[in-house]
Amino acid sequence: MVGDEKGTIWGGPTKRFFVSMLTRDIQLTDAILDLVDNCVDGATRQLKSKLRGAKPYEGFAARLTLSAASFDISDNCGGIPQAAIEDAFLLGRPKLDQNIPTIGMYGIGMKRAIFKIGEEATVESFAADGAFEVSYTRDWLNPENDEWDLPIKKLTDRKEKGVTIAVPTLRKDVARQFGNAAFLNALRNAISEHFGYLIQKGFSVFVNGEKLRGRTLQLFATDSPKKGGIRPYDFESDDDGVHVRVTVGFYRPLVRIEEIDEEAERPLEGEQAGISVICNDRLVLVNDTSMKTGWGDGGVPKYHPQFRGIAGFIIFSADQPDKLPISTTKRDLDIGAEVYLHARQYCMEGLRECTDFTNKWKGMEDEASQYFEQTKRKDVRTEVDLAAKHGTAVRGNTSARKLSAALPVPERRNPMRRISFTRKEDDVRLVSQHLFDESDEKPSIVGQECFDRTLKVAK
Amino acid sequence: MSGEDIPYQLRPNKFIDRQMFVELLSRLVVPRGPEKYVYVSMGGRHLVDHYAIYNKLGIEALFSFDMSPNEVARQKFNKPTGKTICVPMRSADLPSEIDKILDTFPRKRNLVVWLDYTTAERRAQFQEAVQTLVRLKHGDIFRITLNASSRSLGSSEEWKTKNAIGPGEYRADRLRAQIPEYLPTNVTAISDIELPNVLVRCIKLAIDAAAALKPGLQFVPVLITSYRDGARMLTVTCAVSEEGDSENFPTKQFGRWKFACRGWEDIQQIYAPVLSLKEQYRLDANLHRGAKQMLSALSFLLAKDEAASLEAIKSYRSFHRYYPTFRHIED
Repeated sequence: MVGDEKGTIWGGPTKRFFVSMLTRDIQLTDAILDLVDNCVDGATRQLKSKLRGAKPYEGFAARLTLSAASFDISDNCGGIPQAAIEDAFLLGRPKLDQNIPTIGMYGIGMKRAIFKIGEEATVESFAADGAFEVSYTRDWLNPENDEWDLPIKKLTDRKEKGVTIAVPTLRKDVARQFGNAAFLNALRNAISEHFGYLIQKGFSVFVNGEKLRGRTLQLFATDSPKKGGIRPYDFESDDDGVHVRVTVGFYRPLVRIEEIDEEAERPLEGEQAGISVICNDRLVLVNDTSMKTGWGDGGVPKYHPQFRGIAGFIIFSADQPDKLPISTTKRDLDIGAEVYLHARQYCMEGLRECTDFTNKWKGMEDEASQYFEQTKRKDVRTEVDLAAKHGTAVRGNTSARKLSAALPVPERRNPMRRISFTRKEDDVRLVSQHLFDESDEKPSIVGQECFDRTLKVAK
Repeated sequence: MSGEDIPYQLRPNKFIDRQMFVELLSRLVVPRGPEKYVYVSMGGRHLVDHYAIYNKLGIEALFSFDMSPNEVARQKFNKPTGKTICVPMRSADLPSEIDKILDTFPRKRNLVVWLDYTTAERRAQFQEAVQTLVRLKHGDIFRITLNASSRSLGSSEEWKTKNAIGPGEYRADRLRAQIPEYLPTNVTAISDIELPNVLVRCIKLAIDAAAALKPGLQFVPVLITSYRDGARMLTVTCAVSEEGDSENFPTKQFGRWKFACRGWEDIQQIYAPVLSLKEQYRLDANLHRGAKQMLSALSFLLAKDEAASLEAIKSYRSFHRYYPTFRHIED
């Protein structure tokens, strides 16, 4: 019989679960992104409600130093105040941060990252009300060790307030990755992408001394909705404390059929198409082309390379992070959340407009390019506010406004039609020689010339 | 255009590049035994490399591939030995065919692989390179040639029509769109002459990506060259070794070779001035003197101005051993 006299058994956690099992649920890059997230949260707490303006995070920075030997991350984002110390080192958060636009809800990110990266670590904090250091020793991190108390000591205060996490001894597999330049480049890319909007708002991230540039969505957008040309679909709403914005448009001109054929044989470019989801300025889902963001659902065609010009985002902003549709890893969505399903509906409206436009101009991509040439690409977040300025009311949602893309349509009276067929290579070369005195003209050019000559005769 | 349709004999810089490659192999492969090696490359219609590798190094196991069946038929006609294998194959298929190639030459243990690209389809090329690299073993040699012409990232005025900040930023954006994972994040602009240096950094990242996929494999750059006959080209050659192998590859002695690569930034710029035989003899007679004195020995400029002429002479002095002597036999 297992149990004690009171008729109970121990139902608490084991050290092994936290230090060596939970770490398997997260990739190394994501664990580091969690640490940067904590720096941003610190800055956000410092700013309190002063988050408006173009660059509220100016002056706040996270600095990461990685090598095959060690890792550390330090920030100047205010440190951990006395009242928050206990919660900060608990595995799991007893209560949520209210009125702070963060995405951290579970109180596990920093600890999980430390367990993932190192065999020992120290956390130093310098806050306005005191400074301290907490150590994760090799002993404490031993999965067999059931001791949960962490050594903490006071430090002499310093002027710059912030947190430094130092990992002097890395796990073997982590050391190998930190010593690999391709991993570091991928990490820099991930930070530039994930925190692109926070960097745009003034937050700085340095990796091994290199200041990273934020990457944000740029779409073709006319200066005014009255002007012809290409502009994105735009939707905005405020509902139950969550501000939602959905924008879908074109980041590049339409893809030509020849490009799609070439791409089928060999990759030409990295994929930038698709819908990204951003929660409180952090990128949670990148360039999605699946049902998650509405592709292949509700009348929207499934993603296909011909739609490679289409991109967009769904942005959620909330002071109460539990209202955001994100999972525990912060890098995935809770796609069943009501707020997400609602936004997805409008994303599908935008996708429908853009896929319709692509289909209508199929085979006439060169003709459509005039509209792109008339239009400039703009940073959507900071330079496009179509729904807010020019949007119309949305039925059943008094807080919402939207503006359709109203993209140009080709002439209907005598529309273009695509002709496509295949013939044996020998025959194509023979006809090419006959028409052009060269046997290696492109098959599509040979086909076109055959049609044009026959048309001349027919007329 | 890359110069692929210009007869090989009329591309002196490419000629020098290949001579250096053969000499490099003589230092890396010959001490280990050329009979262990299979030489694999795209070859070209006349299999010029295969001839050089066979004649000068004695590597008999030669393999060539090309997408075009007609080119392969021509290769078969031109092949240097009866055992040379020429097959129609895409470079994308090479990684998965490596085992089969080695099966065809059952007694060979090592590979010299040359991915000799001329076009600028970089995404596919980098992916093929990584897939090839992870299949290599201790003692192998990996060589890749890429189109490094800045025009491959847009014509000189194109940036204006695309609303870019400047031509350098436009080139960097284009390259990032092609190979985002291999372009270092701190490359934000690429000047007209910088592309070879940037591509070397991209190759380094691709090699690191391969090393991450196959821990224990090490790739050491042994020769990096850039030259221009038509379009500017970049070639990187690496020696492959494995952690734990008792043999040092390359050996310490290799480092004494004049052109042995000292690191990823050590690019040999090959620039052979076009010289008549008479000019060549005059320069050769003055090789022991400084570049300025060599130039005065000619009493005319070899390029548009004195600075460019001195550069040409310095380059000639470095590579004069490999300089081709082409002359009509009736002259």
